[in-house]
Amino acid sequence: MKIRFVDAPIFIKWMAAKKKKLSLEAAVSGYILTKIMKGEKAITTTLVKDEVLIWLSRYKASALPKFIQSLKALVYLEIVSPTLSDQEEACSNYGKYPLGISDLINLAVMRRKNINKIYTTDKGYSSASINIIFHELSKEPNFKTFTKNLKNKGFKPSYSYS
Amino acid sequence: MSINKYKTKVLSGYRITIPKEIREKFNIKIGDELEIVVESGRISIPIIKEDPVMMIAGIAEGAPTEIKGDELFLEELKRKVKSED
Repeated sequence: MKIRFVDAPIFIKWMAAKKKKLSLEAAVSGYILTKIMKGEKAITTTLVKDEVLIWLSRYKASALPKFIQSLKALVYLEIVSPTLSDQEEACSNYGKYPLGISDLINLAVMRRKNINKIYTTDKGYSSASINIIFHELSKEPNFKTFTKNLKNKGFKPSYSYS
Repeated sequence: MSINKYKTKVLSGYRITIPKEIREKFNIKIGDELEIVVESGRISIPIIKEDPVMMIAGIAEGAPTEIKGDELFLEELKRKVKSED
């Protein structure tokens, strides 16, 4: 399977998950990260990592070390630094797609790495011919097992999965 | 990277004992769950004391999620510029 890009909402939705009312989006995000933990190779950027860090510092700064610890343990997730050329390409694409400059930099990294699939909930990427992989994952048989494991850990899904 | 080798015997029920030096070095306690990885003719036990995905599940429970990366960077920048005034 070709490597996929992991966008900031995946981390954010999982970290903001409500234990007593677990949304489908939060569960799918956790499922994606679990796939990566179990050996699916994926890629993200330092920009995504920093977006998540800033977001977390704003709402739960005390959890920052745990997030870093988690990233370090996700050995199949490669964190790439955007280059000046990536940023140059992002600038030239500004206004072309419904994406902000940080997303355009991620897009440039994806193109440099020949990646055309992204784990995200941001629909803007589809206009740049990037395939968004997200909701269809809830149809995978392993997602059901993942949800059952979450239930065993005390999570209460707000969606039906049987 | 240094490689240390240890010998351990397979006991009844295919149990093995983790040598004391390793137990102490990696703080392995009775009841800990370890993962056995099989790769190209060798087995290894990576020391993962906690599931890295579950450890961040809901750590910022209920925080707003509908915020774009650019807005976050802009807010950081605003705060920085303001503090330098």
